[in-house]
Amino acid sequence: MTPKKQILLNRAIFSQSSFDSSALTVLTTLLHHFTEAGDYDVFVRSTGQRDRRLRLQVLPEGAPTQINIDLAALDKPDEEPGCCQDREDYRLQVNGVAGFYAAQGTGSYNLLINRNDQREKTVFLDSASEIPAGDLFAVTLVRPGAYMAADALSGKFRVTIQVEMPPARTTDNGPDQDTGKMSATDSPSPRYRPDRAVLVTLDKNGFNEKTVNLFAGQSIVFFCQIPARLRVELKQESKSSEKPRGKTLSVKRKNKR
Amino acid sequence: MADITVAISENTFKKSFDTLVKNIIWEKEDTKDFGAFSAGYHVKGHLEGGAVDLRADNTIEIKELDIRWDKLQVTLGLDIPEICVGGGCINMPWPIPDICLPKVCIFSDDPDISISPDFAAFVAQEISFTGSILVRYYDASIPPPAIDPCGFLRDLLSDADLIDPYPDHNQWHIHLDPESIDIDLFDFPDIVGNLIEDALTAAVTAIIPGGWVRDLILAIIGGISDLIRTILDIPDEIEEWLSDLFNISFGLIDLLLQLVGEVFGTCVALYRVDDPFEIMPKETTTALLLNHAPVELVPVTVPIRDLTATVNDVEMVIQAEIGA
Repeated sequence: MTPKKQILLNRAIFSQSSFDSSALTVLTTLLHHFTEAGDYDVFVRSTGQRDRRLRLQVLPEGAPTQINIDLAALDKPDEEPGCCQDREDYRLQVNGVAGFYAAQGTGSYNLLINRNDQREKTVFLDSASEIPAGDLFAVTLVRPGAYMAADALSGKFRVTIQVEMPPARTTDNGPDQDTGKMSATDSPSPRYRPDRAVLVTLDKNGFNEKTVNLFAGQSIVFFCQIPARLRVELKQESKSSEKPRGKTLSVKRKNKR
Repeated sequence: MADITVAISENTFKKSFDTLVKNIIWEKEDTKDFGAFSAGYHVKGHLEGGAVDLRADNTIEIKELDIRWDKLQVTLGLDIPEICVGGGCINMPWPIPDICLPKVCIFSDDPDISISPDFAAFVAQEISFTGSILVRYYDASIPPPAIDPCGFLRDLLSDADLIDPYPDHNQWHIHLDPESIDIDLFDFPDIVGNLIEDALTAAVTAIIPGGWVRDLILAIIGGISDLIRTILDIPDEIEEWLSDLFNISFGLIDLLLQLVGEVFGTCVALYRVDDPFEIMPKETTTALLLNHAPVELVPVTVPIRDLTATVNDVEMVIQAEIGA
């Protein structure tokens, strides 16, 4: 038998309850829409880790329309400390989207994107300050409960997000009466799919939805048509997501005679 | 007419057979990789019982020889697939392309789980065979074969001394050569399927945190029972799948058939007759010389030729000629 792998549980997935577009963490993705062809520098700044510089070429054609970059995977412990370790080039087609996310860990990241092929360095994205119009911010919500998403820039737009546990899977016939087990021949209800996302648009009038309903593990994608800084916070945890209490021991003292 | 005739009763034949059977103990282990899972076995067994029937048609029937498993351990290793949240794609208005979100996985790598239950107590098999008497002459002057035909048995049998090395003198070997063998296939009862499912469920549950986290993970994987069946690719009951694994994939039935066939038919003789055969042992006597000095008398042997063995419904008859 092959030796057992050392598996780590990605605990950040289950412990996070607040998300901010200015500090990307696990379960968040910032998607930047590149509308001009050119050469770009993407500076990745993170708490407790060295800065990274990625080089990204946006081409008129012949390149992917989307790339996803795992910010947590950029860090290599054996590299020399110091700013701006260059990484390999990324290529993207004009009007394509680059998604920046963290697959694991407790680090938080923000991004600075500017062009490096022009005399004047134009900042296309400074996520620590705001998300520009045309970009998207996605959050995967895992803990059941009631969340509030708000635009910190305008200070007035909000949307409620209700996250519930997915429904339990059942079969047409139900479990066996004697064993309580499902038979291999029963046809069960479709398996729960966490890879479903809901799109919410933010424009000058606010969010286009007042309330969004999701199952735990699904994502909400904010399409910002105005500059924004988005925060999503768990306001009320669902009872099912509370920590289970330990068993209670009741002791009655005997009357002394 | 034969110079020597020896008759062995059915009862005596049974005792010889029982002595041989008692010493047949085998052990084997192996692992096979099936991609999403690996399956291995470690088995140890021996033979017991069996009824001997000498038949009038010159054959011998061995009935209901029990295959007793001292160890029938199965090791199942499952590679749990990715369990992730997020992901999915969204339709976007032009000019933004439809976007696909990255998924985030719950474990840093695909976890493995492994169980090794022993099902020796749940399996009972019998083997029966009919064979004829086979007489072979071993000539010590001919070099032994380059490849030992019984080599695989020496590795398999726990008591490798059951197979003697090639003798340094000529011998007649009398074998029971199985011609038709009936063997019970592995047939695991329902309880075995439940035990496997319970053990795998416990192993999967052990790597998943409790509470709502477990509920969510179970919802994503569609339940542990379904996950197990998907990984193992089991359309039917687990015990039937396990029976197929032992009967076909592991090749253990073939192994047992080969074991019985080779042990009795090729590698271990029921009876051996030395050639020349010693009819009077070496002796030291003081009766020959007047001074009563001890005189060593060499053993008296006779050459054995044309040894045959036949069977009727009462006894086995061995006949041979004496002479050069």
